[in-house]
Amino acid sequence: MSSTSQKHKDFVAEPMGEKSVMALAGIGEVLGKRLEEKGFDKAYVVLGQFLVLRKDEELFREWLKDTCGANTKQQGDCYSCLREWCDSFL
Amino acid sequence: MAMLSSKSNEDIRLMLDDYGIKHGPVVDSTRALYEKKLREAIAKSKKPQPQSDRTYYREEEDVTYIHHRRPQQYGDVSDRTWTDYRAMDYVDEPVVYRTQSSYRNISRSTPAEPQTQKTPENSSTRLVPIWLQILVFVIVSALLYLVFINMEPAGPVKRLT
Repeated sequence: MSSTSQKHKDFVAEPMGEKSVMALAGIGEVLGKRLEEKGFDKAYVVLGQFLVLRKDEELFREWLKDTCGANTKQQGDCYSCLREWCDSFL
Repeated sequence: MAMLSSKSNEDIRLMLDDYGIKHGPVVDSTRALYEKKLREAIAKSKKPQPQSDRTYYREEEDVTYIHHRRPQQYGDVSDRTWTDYRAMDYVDEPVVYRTQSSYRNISRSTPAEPQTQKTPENSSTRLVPIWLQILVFVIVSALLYLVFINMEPAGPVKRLT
């Protein structure tokens, strides 16, 4: 959690616009595909879910795990990526 | 347990509050997550109940142990406290535990009466059968009588005057 990936830095640097869900930190091809199948095809849709879960870490992690099977690290990366984006732009 | 999926979003929300589950709005995309959390909470709340009953019975066992010591010294009071205990809601199992603890208790707190170890469970309402109590009383009074008889020269007669 202390060191953030390049993907994370790129994402939180600017408004997400129409970026794909795979632009999110922690979400690669496999997880991205699963999310798209469930209807979460854009990053902002996942953002919407993040917000509806009140930006709660525990709930979001659990939802991500249930929806696409993300492991603990992937959950954490995606959560902190979205949280930091919200801190800057929401 | 009613099907969670047939409940309205509002009902799910109320149930989440009942179980103290932190949550956001119950909408289509969050519904599945919250239903899962509710199922876990319901299953969890059902499981510990038999265990907590067991701990209660353990306490019951300890409590009956303590209660039993005192009434051993006072004859009739013990019967009253026992009937009070039996009147409690948890009828069957405490009786079992009680007889076990009383069995143990009798062997510990009344070492002078080894005969009581054999027959506490046979008696219907009493721990120590009445005939045994009378027998002990007769024996003790006979012993005291013998002591008094042998004391004649020193004189209970003298004491009376």
